[in-house]
Amino acid sequence: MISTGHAALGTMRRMEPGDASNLLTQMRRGALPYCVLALLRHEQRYGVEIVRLLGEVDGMVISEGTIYPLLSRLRRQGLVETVWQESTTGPPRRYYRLTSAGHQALDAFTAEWERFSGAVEHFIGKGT
Amino acid sequence: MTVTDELIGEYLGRLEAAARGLPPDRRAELVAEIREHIDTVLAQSPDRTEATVRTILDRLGTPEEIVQEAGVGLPETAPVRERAAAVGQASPRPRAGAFEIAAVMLLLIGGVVLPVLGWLVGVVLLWASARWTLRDKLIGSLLFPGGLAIPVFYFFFWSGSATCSGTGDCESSGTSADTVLTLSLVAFVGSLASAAYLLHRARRAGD
Repeated sequence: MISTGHAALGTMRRMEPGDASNLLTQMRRGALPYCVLALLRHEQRYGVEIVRLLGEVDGMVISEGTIYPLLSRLRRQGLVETVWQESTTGPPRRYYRLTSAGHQALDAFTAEWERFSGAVEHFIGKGT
Repeated sequence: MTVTDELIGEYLGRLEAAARGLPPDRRAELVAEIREHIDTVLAQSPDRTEATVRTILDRLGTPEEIVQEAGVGLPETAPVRERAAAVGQASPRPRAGAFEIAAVMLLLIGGVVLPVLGWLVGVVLLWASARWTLRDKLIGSLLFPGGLAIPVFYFFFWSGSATCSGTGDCESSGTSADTVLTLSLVAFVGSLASAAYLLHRARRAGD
């Protein structure tokens, strides 16, 4: 009965320590596709290169393999397209590049993200 | 086959098995992309030792994790059932739908609308559907072939060849009228019963 009462409070319930990490997981998951699009903003890149660049930044990717389903989803959504190119150091590579729809999606997100992160930073970043 | 080849083969095998719930083209694409990743990283590595290969596979994550990520986007284009299947659950038999109803209708009246061919299309649909067992399919196509076209044809053939005398008595020129009428009736009722049976089986198998 007590737990039902808690749940009924909905948004009024107390914040648990786990909530923040859950929320951050969700945010990371939601932002990752746009980070991939942003990596392709100025140049085309192949899969391993994208994986590596994401991995260089702490806190971005947990498992490298999960980037490929993400790339394939972006392709089905028409945000990226692929081209094959020969390589001097191994097998031919599948290069990913932004479509015009991909550029639009990235620009729209970038604008919203700057407003949102600026607002959060305004309150949280000051520390007072 | 070297140890490293075995490690890679085993990993890709696990990936393929974990992805069995994905549509075939998506599964093939996913396995191909992971294979390309491994080949590309190996080509850029200074060596091809077991430790190197293990590190590459570890960094990729487990096949199950990768497949789970692949299943996330499915609802955009596919129903929930496919999403459930993508995370490794068995997919149930497809539900009876417009396809099965079209098959039964064509078997029943296809031959009337378009002689022979209409019914044959119905047979093709019947055998193409996963909803019916082999026994259902045999019953559907062999018990009353032609569907309603046969009794309809019999009936017109009979009335067309009948001769009527001035007193109003009609007599068929070939087989006796009673026999033709009985056969037509049997084929008529039989075709309807066969169609009803197929629809029933198609519905029941979905539960």
